[in-house]
Amino acid sequence: MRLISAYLLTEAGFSSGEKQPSANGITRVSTSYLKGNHRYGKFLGHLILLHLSIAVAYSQSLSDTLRLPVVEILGVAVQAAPGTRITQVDSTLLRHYSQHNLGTILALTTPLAIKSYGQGGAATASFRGTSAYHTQVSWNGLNLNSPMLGQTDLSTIPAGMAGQLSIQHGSNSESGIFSLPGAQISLKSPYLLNQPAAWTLSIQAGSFGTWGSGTEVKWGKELMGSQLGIYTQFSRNDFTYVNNALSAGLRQTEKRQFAGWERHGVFHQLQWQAAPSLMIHLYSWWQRSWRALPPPLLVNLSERNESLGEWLGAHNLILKARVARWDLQSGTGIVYHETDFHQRIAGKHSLSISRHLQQNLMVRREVHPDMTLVFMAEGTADFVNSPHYRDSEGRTQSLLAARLDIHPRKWLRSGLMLTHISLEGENPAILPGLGLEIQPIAAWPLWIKTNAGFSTRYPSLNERYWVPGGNPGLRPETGRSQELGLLWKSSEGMLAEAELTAYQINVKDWIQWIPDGMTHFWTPLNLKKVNTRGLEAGMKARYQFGKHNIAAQTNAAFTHARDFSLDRTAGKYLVYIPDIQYNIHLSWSFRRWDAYFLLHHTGRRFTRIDGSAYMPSYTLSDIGIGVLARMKEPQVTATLNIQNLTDIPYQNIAWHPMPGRSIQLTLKTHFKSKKQ
Amino acid sequence: MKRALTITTLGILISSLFLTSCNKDDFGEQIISKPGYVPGPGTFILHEGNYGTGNASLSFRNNISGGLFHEVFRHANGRPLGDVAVSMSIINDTGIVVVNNSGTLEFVRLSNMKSLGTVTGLPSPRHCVHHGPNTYVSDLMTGEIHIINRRNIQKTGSIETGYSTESMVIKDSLLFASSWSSYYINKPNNVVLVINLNTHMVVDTITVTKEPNSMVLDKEGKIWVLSSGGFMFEEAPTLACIDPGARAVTRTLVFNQGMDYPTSLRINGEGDRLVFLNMGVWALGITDNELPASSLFAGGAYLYGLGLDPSSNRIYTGDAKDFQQAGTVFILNMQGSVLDTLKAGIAPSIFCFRTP
Repeated sequence: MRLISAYLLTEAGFSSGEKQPSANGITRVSTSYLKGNHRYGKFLGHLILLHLSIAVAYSQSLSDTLRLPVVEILGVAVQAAPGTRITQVDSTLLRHYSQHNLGTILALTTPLAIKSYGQGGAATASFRGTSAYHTQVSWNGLNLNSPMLGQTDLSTIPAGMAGQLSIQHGSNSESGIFSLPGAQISLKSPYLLNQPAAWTLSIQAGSFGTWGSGTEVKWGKELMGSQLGIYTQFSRNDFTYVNNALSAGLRQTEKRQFAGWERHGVFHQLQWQAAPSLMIHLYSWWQRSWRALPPPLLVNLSERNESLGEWLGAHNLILKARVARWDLQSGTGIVYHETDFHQRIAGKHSLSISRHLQQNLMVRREVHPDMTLVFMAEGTADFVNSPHYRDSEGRTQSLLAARLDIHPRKWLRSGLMLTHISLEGENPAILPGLGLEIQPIAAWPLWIKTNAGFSTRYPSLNERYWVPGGNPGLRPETGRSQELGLLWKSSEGMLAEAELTAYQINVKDWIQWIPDGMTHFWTPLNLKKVNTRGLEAGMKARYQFGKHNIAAQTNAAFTHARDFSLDRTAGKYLVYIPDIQYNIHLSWSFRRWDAYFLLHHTGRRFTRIDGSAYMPSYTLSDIGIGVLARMKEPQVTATLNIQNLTDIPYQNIAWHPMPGRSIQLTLKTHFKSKKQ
Repeated sequence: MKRALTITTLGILISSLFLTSCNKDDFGEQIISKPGYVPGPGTFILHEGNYGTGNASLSFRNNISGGLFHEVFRHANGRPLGDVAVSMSIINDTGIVVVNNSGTLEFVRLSNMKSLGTVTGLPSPRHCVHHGPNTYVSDLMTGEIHIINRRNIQKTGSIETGYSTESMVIKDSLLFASSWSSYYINKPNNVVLVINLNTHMVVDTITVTKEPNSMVLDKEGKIWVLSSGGFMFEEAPTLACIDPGARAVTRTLVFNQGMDYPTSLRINGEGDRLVFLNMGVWALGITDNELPASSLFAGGAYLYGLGLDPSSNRIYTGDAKDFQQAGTVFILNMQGSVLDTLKAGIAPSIFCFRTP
């Protein structure tokens, strides 16, 4: 019985190695690159081996001789700031759910509570009881949150855009450039260098008139790599559902109408090792999406026909350099976002355009073998043209942060962080943070983690400038969070990782829209005080026997979120925050076959703040199976996924039906060059 | 060991399938309030709810027992009232609730709140008035007033107006309908239409101030029209008196432009005293020549609904607060003193009185 368990740590995104894709998506990295003549590759190779050796040493008693095992790298781990937690979505699931949107895969596989109006409908994230404004979505370091709304609609992002998808919990993130009390959802493109040239063509067909296709060309030499992809997806989304808005005896099965959606996009990535110590990444992504906005069940359907079209363009240029003992990273990016809302019955439409410019710089230096210093600076500028504002509006923001990571002992890791945020016209915010990790017993791979920090959220442009009602005088929300957890991380035994975290978040001056008695307009005010606390648990285990690989991953979240700004007798619950949520993912692979089973439970959610109404809990199960055809070239894989296997009726948002059992079939043809 | 592990894994897989919820009845929104309804003379409180969330509801306060019952429609019929309930009226033992965003008229038997029938497919119904066997329903989106036959609870026709319509009163076989909104129909929203109920034709229009939101008929047969002046304070709000015989405005009281936004005009049982909302509850007599200098009542966070019990002359006003939490209903006398408060649902906006 051979255990598989190892993690490749990336240092500011640098990594090397020849990757060999397999049918199950598990990537294996050989260590033969160490024999290359490239000095930079050798340096990284030693660095990687150093990390691996530390991992092995955790689970072994102290020894004079350190053995470096041959390892299979199952994924690229994201480095967390000391004391924080990161949830990484399994690559198998990313592959199986690539035709879905980001909201779907996050809802099924992470502790995030996703408020979703269904496939094609809006989907926003709530993390630890906070709102969608408190969670940032970034793509290769570029912030995708709309400057108008202050949040991201996860349904507009195809899950297939992420070569790697991770959620960093809490206000102290990996890079430190993150100050919200919620989470940071990070999408990263795959690494390209030293990849054989490959062309992939995929076709998907699914229930409810869902179709998709995509093509991707990828190649990577030793010094340069490129990836170009085009995708298209569309769906009638005409699933059947039970209309529970009718009396029990009269309920009938109906077909969802006016719920179609489509997405078309192109993305490109270029990686260039311009010099031994200089790496350049260029990311580009264009997407056009459109969706109908079906009303809830209780609304007269035939006369309501609203739709939303969007253009998204995102470009980011990242330079990574090593000068002497300094690691430098610079990112320059722009996000263009156009939203076009149509209301057919009224003959109304509104077009809003936002532009987000971002420039950040990170400098890292190992000042001592036990101490690393990181400086970060970021400047952003947002510009919006919208008929809902009096004039074009914009604002600039700057952020300076410093982080000191101290590892005086193998069993102790700590981090201090200080962030200074300055928004045009606002008083600057200074946000300290502290993280600590301690391994109490050397023989056990058990760590105690704790983390505390302050956070802030500046009002969005809609909150400030919406006509009528926008409030330019809004104060920023401020938050304070702390967490304490246990982490078991081992390279031996079946249990690769287990984590238990208790947290508490307090947010005050939470912005809420209310009707103004003086003007009768709705206007945002700093009103609420919210306290959320809870427990999160997660576990990863792997087992291999013969050529069978079995992996299990589970995570659970218990959330107690309350609003203390109101009279307690009048209301106190935060709506649509599940009291409990958990996912169980089991995967199996054998030779050319792989399969998975996913169980997802969403607990009860109150729909009124006085608790007088709620959405009941539901549990969904998905399965999937994939096979690699028995031929050398091209590689052809077929994947069959079944969502909501037991065909249960459920609703995530009241009166918005969700689909029953659905099936997707994906065929992928992969042509790979034999030469590198 | 391998076999045990395989069996265990399969066991987990299979048993977890049984964890999936399969109850096909309770997957939608559930309410916690207990069923209960004691009919009799009392006050129906209609809660508008939030747009697009389907949480409109109906409560009833029995004046004899003092009992307050919530979600009476939903408990009686096993289904929600709908999305955005805007008005209610009573004829004999039948209540008629207009649910705007659901496009429905719900007819209920007041003795047990059971549904007698539902008119569906109306684009955007707002208010209704009754004349003979017909109920006339105004509409926000379409240029028509729907004609509903109360006997068979079906739409039997419509009056083509070309305007969005809102509040209505009937006087001498003439239907007066205000045009409050120009959002869906690009027509001026500063008129009162005069419709002949024998021919179902528009016979005249009376120009008033922008956004005439509510109308009442006084004891002298005059029609009072309250106009808010426009959503963006385009004009000074007014309270206008119309002589229906002359089909003309005979008197106008002007509010402060940019400061006042009056709504919800109501009249007492005797038909000689008017009340309305304007960041408080205000009252004046039909013979007063000036607007009142001060309000009767200015409590609550955001007064959104107003009603006047014709039998007791008690004023009911609903505080919607932030439209997310349960509202409060204040019961006042005509001097503005608080007689009672009731815990309401979300956005208590309309009061309908069932008199003995």
